[in-house]
Amino acid sequence: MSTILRYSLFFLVVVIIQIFILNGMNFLGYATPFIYIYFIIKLPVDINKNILLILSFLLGFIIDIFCNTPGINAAATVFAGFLRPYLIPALVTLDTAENRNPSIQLFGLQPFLRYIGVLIFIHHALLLTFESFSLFDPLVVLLRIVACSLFTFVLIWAMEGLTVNHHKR
Amino acid sequence: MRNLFNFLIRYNSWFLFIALEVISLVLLFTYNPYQESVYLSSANKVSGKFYASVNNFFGYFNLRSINEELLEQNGLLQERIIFLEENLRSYTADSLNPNVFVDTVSAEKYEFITARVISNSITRLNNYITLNKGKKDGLLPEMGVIDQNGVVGVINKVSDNYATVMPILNPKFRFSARLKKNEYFGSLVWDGKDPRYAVLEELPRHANFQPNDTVVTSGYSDAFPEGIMVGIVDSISGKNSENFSAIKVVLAVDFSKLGNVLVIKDLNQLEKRNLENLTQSEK
Repeated sequence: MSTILRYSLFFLVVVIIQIFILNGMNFLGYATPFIYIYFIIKLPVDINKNILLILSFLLGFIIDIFCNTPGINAAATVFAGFLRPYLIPALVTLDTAENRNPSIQLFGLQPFLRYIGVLIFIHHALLLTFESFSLFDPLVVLLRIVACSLFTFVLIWAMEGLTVNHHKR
Repeated sequence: MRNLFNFLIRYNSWFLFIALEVISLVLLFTYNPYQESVYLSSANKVSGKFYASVNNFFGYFNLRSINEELLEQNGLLQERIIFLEENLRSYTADSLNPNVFVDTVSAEKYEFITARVISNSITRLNNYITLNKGKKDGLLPEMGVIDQNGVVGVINKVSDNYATVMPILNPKFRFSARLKKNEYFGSLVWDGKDPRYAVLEELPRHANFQPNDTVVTSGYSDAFPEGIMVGIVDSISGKNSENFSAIKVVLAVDFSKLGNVLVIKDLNQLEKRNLENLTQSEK
């Protein structure tokens, strides 16, 4: 029960941070971080696929409502949530079948960064391509995908680093 | 039959995935910014309230700069009043009855409703603004929105207490604008790159202009009266097509710090619409 409560709180926190702080950020005119994907990244390794998909959809849908972009965030996040169960075994070798959260400690630094890097890139590529349907400019879209992915990657790495230090103490 | 069930159970997450993606894509592609229900936008009850309460808290931080801007604007208006009063006085001196020159037909055609911006985005491609006033305050879709510096956008969706605005910084919104010094007009649209600039397209090629010329609304669209500030010509941004040129325009409104805005209510709009409908049905 406390796990569900903890994850609900985490859900709320990423949504609030995304809507009120990060949506207004525009580094160098191109990079906006989409940190809410951190929630999908941190869900337990063995989570039921259907629950993962529904949570992804809910998360994307709520972000969509606040951003007035129906469907865009939901479609990208559902796709990322769908890929996740196939991505983890492909990128990480886990010896325990224990149900734990993906983290640097569990995966090791390099596999973890690979995992979040691929997931973030796929999510952002879809998101920004969908967004550009109303005005397509391939170069700008590509630039935005790379810039936003890097920004989100660095932010999530930093947050992950902070929580690791916290646990060690 | 059993095989079918096994198949369905085995791949159930695939079906769920496909179903959820289809729902998302249907939302994405059938979304019409004017006709869709208000529940899927930030003007709905829950998110409207959310934005409004957060804005209540953070709104105090920019009061100083907003005050300064208002003072400046006040000064400009004062100057304008003096100028107009002088003009009026010269007319009075010219003839015994000044009322002959007052255009009574076009007087009081517009009414302004003030509203506060409670959420704003400039970083996305399709940006939207949320206002703290709605249907109850007389706001309706397609009304123009301006602030003290110039054109902001047009009302998009309206709920009882909130409304969303489609600003210039949304490629789905374009409106008619003209050069102030001559009557040549074009269509102003955002190119999705920099929130400080927009492009005035479809301007006849023979229209001459220089950098720093003023661009104002043309009055051809219902949303804005004629002559409202839009921006200043920056540079020519290339040929639009063979017969038209496109100009890069520095927008007068700084979208990164919108505070209070005015919604324009055209008191003759109903009459105009009726007339247009009548004309169309006669064709």
